Amino acid sequence: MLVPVSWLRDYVDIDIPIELLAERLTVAGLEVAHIRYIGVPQEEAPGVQMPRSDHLVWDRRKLLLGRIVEVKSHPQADRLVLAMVDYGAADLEQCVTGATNLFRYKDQGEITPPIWSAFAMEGARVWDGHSAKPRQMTLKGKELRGIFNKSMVCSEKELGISDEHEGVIVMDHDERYIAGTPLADVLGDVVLDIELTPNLARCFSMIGVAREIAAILDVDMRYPSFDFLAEGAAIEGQVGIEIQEPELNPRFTLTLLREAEVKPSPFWMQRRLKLIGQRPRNNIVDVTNYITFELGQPLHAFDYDMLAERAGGAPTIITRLPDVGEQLETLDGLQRDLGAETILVADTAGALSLGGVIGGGETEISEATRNVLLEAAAWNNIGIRKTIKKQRVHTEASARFSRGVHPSQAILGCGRGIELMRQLAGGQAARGVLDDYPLPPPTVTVDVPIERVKRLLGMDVTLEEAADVLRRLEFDVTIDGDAIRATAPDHRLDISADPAVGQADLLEEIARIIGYDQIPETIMADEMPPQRENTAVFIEERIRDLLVGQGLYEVISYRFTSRGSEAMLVPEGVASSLPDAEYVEIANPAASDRNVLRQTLMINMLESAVNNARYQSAQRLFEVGKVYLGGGDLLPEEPLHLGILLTGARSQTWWQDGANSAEMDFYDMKGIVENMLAGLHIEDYRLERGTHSSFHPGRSADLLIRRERIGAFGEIHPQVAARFKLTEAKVIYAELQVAPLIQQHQRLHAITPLPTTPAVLEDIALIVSADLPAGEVETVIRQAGGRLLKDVTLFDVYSGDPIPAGKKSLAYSLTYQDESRTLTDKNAAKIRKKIIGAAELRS
Amino acid sequence: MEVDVECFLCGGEGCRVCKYTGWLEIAGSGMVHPTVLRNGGYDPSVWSGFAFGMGPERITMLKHGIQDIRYFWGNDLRFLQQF
Repeated sequence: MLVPVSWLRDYVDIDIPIELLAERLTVAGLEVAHIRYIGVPQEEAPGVQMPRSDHLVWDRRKLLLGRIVEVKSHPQADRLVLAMVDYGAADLEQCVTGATNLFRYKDQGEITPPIWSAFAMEGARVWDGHSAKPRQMTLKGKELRGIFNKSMVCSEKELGISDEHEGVIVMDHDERYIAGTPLADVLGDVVLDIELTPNLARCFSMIGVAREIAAILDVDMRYPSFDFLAEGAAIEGQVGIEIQEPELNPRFTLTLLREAEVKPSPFWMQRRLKLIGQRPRNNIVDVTNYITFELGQPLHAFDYDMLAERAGGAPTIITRLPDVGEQLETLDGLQRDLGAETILVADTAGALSLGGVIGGGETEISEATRNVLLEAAAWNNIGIRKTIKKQRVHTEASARFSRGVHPSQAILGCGRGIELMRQLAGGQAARGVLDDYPLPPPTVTVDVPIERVKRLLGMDVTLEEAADVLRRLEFDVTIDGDAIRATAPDHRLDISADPAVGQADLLEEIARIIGYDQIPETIMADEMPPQRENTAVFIEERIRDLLVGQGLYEVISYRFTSRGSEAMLVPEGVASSLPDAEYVEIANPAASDRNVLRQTLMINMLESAVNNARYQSAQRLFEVGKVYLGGGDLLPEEPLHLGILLTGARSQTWWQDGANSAEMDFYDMKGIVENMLAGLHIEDYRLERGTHSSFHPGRSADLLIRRERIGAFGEIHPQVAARFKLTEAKVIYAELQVAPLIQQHQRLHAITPLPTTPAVLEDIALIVSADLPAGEVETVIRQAGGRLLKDVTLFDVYSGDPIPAGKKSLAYSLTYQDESRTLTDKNAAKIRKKIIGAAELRS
Repeated sequence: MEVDVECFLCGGEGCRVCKYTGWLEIAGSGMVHPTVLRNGGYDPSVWSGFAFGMGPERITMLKHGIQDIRYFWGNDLRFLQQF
């Protein structure tokens, strides 16, 4: 929220540097994100660090308030005029200007009343109004089409107030200032940009922020008058109110202004609205916006005659839930379907506006409006939140009502609003306010012992200090023995009636106003609880280390994907091996192709590979992340998975190779997985012929630990790789469940004593059917070899002449050893015979 | 309470990364709300809690001069290989 300091000063005296004020507000919970200076010097404070502002500081001797008393034509140029300016000196100054908003005064003689504007003398620094890029310049005397000129009348852009450069600034006469007053005193300002958290709904206005400042600085608060001059007939009989849903609409008030003149607002009102980023429209609508920002109570103005016409007499305002299928066209031009959560402001003829959110088009204020009916109501904040979510409409009114505005504020807004309208638009206000208040919120009183304040805040606060802080925040405070009894002021809805919560609410107020920086540092009195290791996290980290140690890089992906993306992982005509689970849907996805939670890491890994392929062909990636399997009970299962992806050259090409290095294949992945298992000391695992649908048939394996299938790896199916345009090199992928790895890892493992007897080494070659997996052959060898066969290593695979077609030769090196005796050749031959026998039987 | 550090990119002068405030938030903390304690099975008149947490990204950005937080999710090897 933008907060001009000049506006705050209406309610509270601020006599500390602005940057210190910003610091105090920030520490009290109202974060000042940015400070904008207009014309005045930066107000730094010792010990407060803020960015340096590069705004234009208006020279107090050369940028002055001026009166344009006459506009003459330029003898040489049609698009220039000569403005005669009184800036407090003895003689008028003649300024050559192209300001189009002065043309209509050309050669009309003396202008009455004169136009008040911003006058810049020779030597003044201003922004260059004609430059597209921000550029400062110093005003110098020069001839403009034959007439010497050394000063100018300024646009808002030239002063750095806004980008407006259509004409010069035109101000209303302000009796406080005479011609020649430094412009910085008239239009100079500082605007704070405060980021309000939702729990600070009460600060969503100038008065709300001023109240905080009054409490922080311990100064008095000056409230504006909420009374109004009523010269018209009594409001009763001119309009009625019927509240059907007090829970949603606890209060509704109305006032009426007759014979108003709808026209642009005066300069001061327009200036304030512009400073806070609002566009001025007309005096009636501007007042509703002004009060919204001044008091935090949004208002809505109706064209009374339109209502009377619809009702065929005195209208009755009805607040109710919509009928089935009811619609309303709102001010933003949208025809809206109304849901059961939306409370409507209606009359006997139908809906008028979405209560507390946005008005309807038909009864809005127009140039032709004469009689204005002013609404100030209170709305249940949850109801408003539901409506803005459903209707996707955000207004200044809904921003406040959805956070909570106390119903006590409605009557204040009504009085202040109708009086301002009367002052700006004329006419007579009806006597009295029509006030229907069926559901006032309860008054909240909280008791808190001072010992509790001290204990929870860790600060040595006295009873009197704590009571004083709360009084400064307008709580009604009494001291009862060692406890404070505080009643919340009627602009606050955030103090809970629940004793424990209410106490916490008061403690927060005490702490933030005294200042969190005043809480002393202490060392914890109690011993720290013993630290226990989290095994799951430890092993997860170990897995990462084991993979990084093998030259892999960890990636972290978004967990959102789409059904269509994951369907790309299954080749055509093949039964999917992806999880048979329902997808977890994202209620409001940021993108249509990211609308469900992933069930596999494969899609993310392939996408990462695609992105990286633009810059490098060799990739070794892994991710440890959750997948989401829905369809069970209330919540989805969220198992942790490990994905590994390899593609491209096995090693960097360098001059010694002379040729490109071979690309990574299935065996590189097998090595990485087995090394990882070895690092976790998981020995009881087995690889079987792969069954996963996303892999190349025959170039994949399933990993089983203790006979449980925990994942698969292999070469990505060419169809799948083609869909991702990963066709440059084979893509090898693994996806494993992490939980079994954590369960089966051995934290401590016993070693095998070193043998005292020599081993016997020999090599054998077996010719087997070409489609028989090497793993199966090894299993047969190991079984037949028995206890004395210590190691089996496949060192060569050969097919082709002289091996018959459909066969391959597998060459193994075998190690025999017996720890209790030295093996002889005879012993070894016996084992070999057994192995060959078993292998023959198998093939 | 919030812990901010001076923006490492502009040295507190104000820039795109710190949204022209000169500060970067790296940690949030606070007393646990009584309702949260109660929902967790603790009597708020007996127990109180203090919770705090920090975002590893911002601190890493600070340490390594990383100017774009999206690098952490980009999975670009040219970035990852620098660690």
